[in-house]
Amino acid sequence: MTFPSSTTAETGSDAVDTVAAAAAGSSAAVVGRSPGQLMWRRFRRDRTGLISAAIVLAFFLIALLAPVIAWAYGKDPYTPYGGNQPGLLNQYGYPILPNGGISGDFWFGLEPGLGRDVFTQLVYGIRTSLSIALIVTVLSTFIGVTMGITSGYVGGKTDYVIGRVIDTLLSFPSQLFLIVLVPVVEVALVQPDQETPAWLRYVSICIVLTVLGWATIARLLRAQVLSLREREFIEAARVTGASPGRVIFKELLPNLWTPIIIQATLALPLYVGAEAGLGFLGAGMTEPTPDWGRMFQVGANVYHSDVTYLLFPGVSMLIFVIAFNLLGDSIRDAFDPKTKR
Amino acid sequence: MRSHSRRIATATAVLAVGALALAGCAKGGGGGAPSAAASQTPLENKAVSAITVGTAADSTGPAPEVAGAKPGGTANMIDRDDFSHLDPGRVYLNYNASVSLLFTRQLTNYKEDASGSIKLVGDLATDAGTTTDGGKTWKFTLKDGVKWQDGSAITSGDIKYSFERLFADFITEGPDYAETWLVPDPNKPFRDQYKGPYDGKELDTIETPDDKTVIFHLNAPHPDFNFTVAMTGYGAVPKAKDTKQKYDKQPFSSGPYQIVSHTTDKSLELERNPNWDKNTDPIRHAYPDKFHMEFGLQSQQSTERFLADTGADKQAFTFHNAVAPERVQEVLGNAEAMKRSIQGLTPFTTFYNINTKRVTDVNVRKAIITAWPAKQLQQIAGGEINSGKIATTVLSPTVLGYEASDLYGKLAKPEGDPEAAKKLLASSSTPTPTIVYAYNQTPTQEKITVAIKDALTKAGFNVVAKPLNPATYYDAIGPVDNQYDIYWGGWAADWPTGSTAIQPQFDGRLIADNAPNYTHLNVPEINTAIDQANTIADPTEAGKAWAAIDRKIMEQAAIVPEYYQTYFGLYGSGLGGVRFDPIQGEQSALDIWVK
Amino acid sequence: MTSFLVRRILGAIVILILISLITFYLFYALPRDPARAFCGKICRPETLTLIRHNLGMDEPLFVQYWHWLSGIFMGREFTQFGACPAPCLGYSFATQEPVFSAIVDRFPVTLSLTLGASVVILSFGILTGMLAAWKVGQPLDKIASSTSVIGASLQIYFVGPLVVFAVVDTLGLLPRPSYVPFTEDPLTWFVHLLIPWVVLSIIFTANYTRMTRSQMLEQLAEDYVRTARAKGMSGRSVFFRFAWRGAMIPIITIFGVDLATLLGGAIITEQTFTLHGIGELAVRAVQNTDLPMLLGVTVVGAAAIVFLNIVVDVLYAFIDPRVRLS
Repeated sequence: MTFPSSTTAETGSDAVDTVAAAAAGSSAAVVGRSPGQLMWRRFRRDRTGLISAAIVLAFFLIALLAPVIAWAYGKDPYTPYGGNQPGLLNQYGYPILPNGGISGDFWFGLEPGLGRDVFTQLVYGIRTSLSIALIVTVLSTFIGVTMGITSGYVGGKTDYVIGRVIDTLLSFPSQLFLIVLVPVVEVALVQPDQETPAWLRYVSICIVLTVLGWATIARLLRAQVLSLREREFIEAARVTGASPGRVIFKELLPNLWTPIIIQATLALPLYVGAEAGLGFLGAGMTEPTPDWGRMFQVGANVYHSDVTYLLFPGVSMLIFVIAFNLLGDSIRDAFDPKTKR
Repeated sequence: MRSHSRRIATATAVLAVGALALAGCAKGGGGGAPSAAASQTPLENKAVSAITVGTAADSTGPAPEVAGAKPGGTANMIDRDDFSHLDPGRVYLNYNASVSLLFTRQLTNYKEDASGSIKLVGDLATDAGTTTDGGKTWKFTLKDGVKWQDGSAITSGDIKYSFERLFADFITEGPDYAETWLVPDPNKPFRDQYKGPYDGKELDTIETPDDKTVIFHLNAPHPDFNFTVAMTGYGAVPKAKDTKQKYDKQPFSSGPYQIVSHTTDKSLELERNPNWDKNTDPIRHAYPDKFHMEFGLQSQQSTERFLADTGADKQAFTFHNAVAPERVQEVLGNAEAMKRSIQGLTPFTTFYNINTKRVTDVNVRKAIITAWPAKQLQQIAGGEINSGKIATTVLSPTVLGYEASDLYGKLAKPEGDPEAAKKLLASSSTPTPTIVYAYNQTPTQEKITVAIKDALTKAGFNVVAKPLNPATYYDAIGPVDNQYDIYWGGWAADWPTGSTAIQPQFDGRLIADNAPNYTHLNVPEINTAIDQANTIADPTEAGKAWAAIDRKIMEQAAIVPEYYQTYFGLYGSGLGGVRFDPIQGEQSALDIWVK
Repeated sequence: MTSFLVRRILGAIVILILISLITFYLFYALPRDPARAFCGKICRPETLTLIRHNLGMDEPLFVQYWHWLSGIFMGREFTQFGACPAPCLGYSFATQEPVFSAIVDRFPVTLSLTLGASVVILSFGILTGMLAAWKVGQPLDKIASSTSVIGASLQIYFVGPLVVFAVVDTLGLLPRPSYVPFTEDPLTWFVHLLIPWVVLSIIFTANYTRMTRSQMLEQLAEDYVRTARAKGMSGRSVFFRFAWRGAMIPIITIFGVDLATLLGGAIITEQTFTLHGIGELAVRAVQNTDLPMLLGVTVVGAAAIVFLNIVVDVLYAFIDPRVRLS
């Protein structure tokens, strides 16, 4: 439920151990297989990991194929069926059938008020939320890695400035800033007399989550680089006259992939949660774009009379986050079987 | 392998949780007893039977006794917000006005009798004011024995001062009708013509020939000025006790109660004002010895406390909190709680403005109204009891002279009639017009937009929905040359005659940036009719004239009326005399007594 | 030690000023007009101009910021509201109450929520974590580990309403969450906050169970434990007398961070349970584009985070003498 900056503190220290261990491990792995191959062999033997991966993959497939699913199912997430067909909603706007109006026509029932189809809302909502989380994960990892390596490798004034920026960003009350920044970014991107395009909120959310998200990984990477910088093999490369680019890309980066991938797998479910949190607070995607998080807001308003509605976004998100966390565990184990947990 | 077995255990546990959740839903879900809800009778929200100007006899105290009432005890008030203003000059909100009645008196006020008819009577004044020249000069005489909380007499000088201080630079929130009418030129900013009493200058349009008489010389005839001065904004403030900005926290009482303590956002304590004489007051009973008011309760919490009806909550009421929407069905089915419920039609109306500067073809405007999904919107808002009755006119039934009419058959087909709308469009200049609908970007408004878009599209409109930031909503729709065609609005008449409901909104000569004429309707015939109606001194005749204008505006299809807003609230079983105040649209404290 | 503290506090102040500056300027990027909130129903242009002047909004931005900053230490005078004694964070544009007193007023709610939840989270988390470590590999260990994964994956806006629906609406076991001052009636205070505490702990406890368990296992593998064992000390007394101390250090660190987040970011929790704490104040401030309130809440929230971090660092040094504050 919280934003990455808080929760990753623990895993951050974990990952430091991991990387030290990984660095030690890689020197021992002289059997002739690359670390990637080793990792894959280990992962294939991990049953829970494979099941989790299948579930995560299923979610991404659902997101990708949402239009196909909706077409096959014969409904769309935009039409207010309940408002148009009498007999679906009562005078207070709640579904007349029990269990939130679940029926053969509406598998997951109807949304109270408008009477839209919950199943397609959820499928399309997953599409919106997952794509945002994925984009933000890629962007914030990229920026975080760049800033972290720069800061750690260049040092001096650059390090100081980046360090202070990171400090400031991590001191922001992040949830509050998320909801403050979204409208500000929107205003900055569009003239007041222009139409607000539908994609604008999408872009604003991506920007805001990225801006507030990269600092954690940057700080971690900086610490890694600082410790690696003093190691012999880097010294050696530098003494032999390798350019900074070569040192960074050929010497440093290969040793950083493990923490980067681990951080990214940790971050994605947190961004799903953060995006949903925005939706819950009313600062997420706007109508009529379906959104996983906004379904929680609707659910929180109607649960007193129609608790069923809340279960669909809730249980599906629970399954996704658990599967993703377990997958993350498996990936970590696969990278480094010695990690204790 | 330890970690693996852990994860398998986790996966099993997930399945178990999922199964439990699903099992739970099978029992708990459901739209909740549709048959029971359907059998409930709709609310009785009848129009106000009559609004008249009372005589001097009606204005004398004490107020007629409430049957069975006895004095004493403490009444509790629980509500969501603290009162944002207590300085009468800064009060516009009905919620603030409701509490002000307990410690602030105006020249005139409203008296409701058992039959539901409302009379304008003298409050501090001996009658509802007299005019001999059609409303340009108004004379009020103060009653004998009206006193401030320190026992000193309320004089005509105090009344004059109460109006003068409204020109001060920090009093910006209240109404400014009287200020505009009391300066020489109504078309120039009133603060440029008089700066308030704090630098020693007086306003010479208010005359006080003796301690009991106040004469107002207005710059134009205003036959309903006596209604204007019934607004809390024109309540009495004593010169000797005026603490300027601080007065907002601790006003000096002229009414039956005085403020003991006020903790912002938490509580307000009132106790009896010993210097208030019930024989001078025609509307206030002041049965309880004390009022204890508590803030910070959302409607869910107050509903729960009223339903539980235990301890001090038995003697509790609320000014504003309605029954929480999600508990309405439950309350309607609870016969005991329904005995302690208050229903009524508030003076608030809501509607969608159609920008007549942009949508110039009247047939397109008529098609919009015809296609409008009124019933779907009501469902989104939680039904009639949570929103209001579907409206078909400009004036609310709470306004003097209201006449029911339904030009576009919205009551017969509240879900919208796309076929009829298509026919209207076919006869217009543009059969498939593009309509820009601007809305407040809030969760509910977003949903409403979905329904509106759906309904208008079916009728052949091409709808562009433009979300606006709620904080800047009025800034966006304010400019006369705004780029939107339809946008929501709400209004309540400041006193129950047509003039403050219709003139600010539909007088074409008042079109200006940020002025309330959001439809930009400018029909000479309507403008002239407004001028005529404004000069009619007889309230009933004036009412008829305003109703005729209402019909003309609807013929122009300048707005899509949405609701006549309703109120539905509860109170504790230990109180008697709790009633609905049709002027403020919420519960009234004036007749309350503790059982 | 002293020079460390001075440096950290100076750094914190710089960060707070930066944050307030950023908030201030960001806010002015929004096209809004707070003056409307002070204007009657029929709002005249000249009245708006007057209000803007009364609020000091007709001055250049940096002057406005300077007034805001100096108001914290020296108080201010507003035409619209009258005097505002130091520490003055201005008056809310929406509710027109002093920002400082609004925050002070709401603080006990957020504090009760956070501290209560922390007690539950820490005691349960550490207890179950230690038990899990004590009985490594046994059913208890497995259950603790697996529930911790589920707990950490739950969203409060999902569990919260479900628990309220089940416990309050359906079973009627507990009252709907709300805040009753502790000083008024401790029992009522406790009963009304029990649901939020439990829900928060469902989500957060898991984290601490996991950490305690792994830290304990790590400590048990340390040399000093082996030495103690070798000297004949029973496993039980090694476990409960020595190992847990070492395990607490990282837990305190993380708890410090979590506490700051819980305090500064109680937004979603308070929204879920409709509690009127700082978080709810913040959401309302955003919805109303209420700059003074927003600035106040942001700066107070950031201050909580920054200073808790300092406290954690200092505590860390006290517990673990190996850490040098330099």
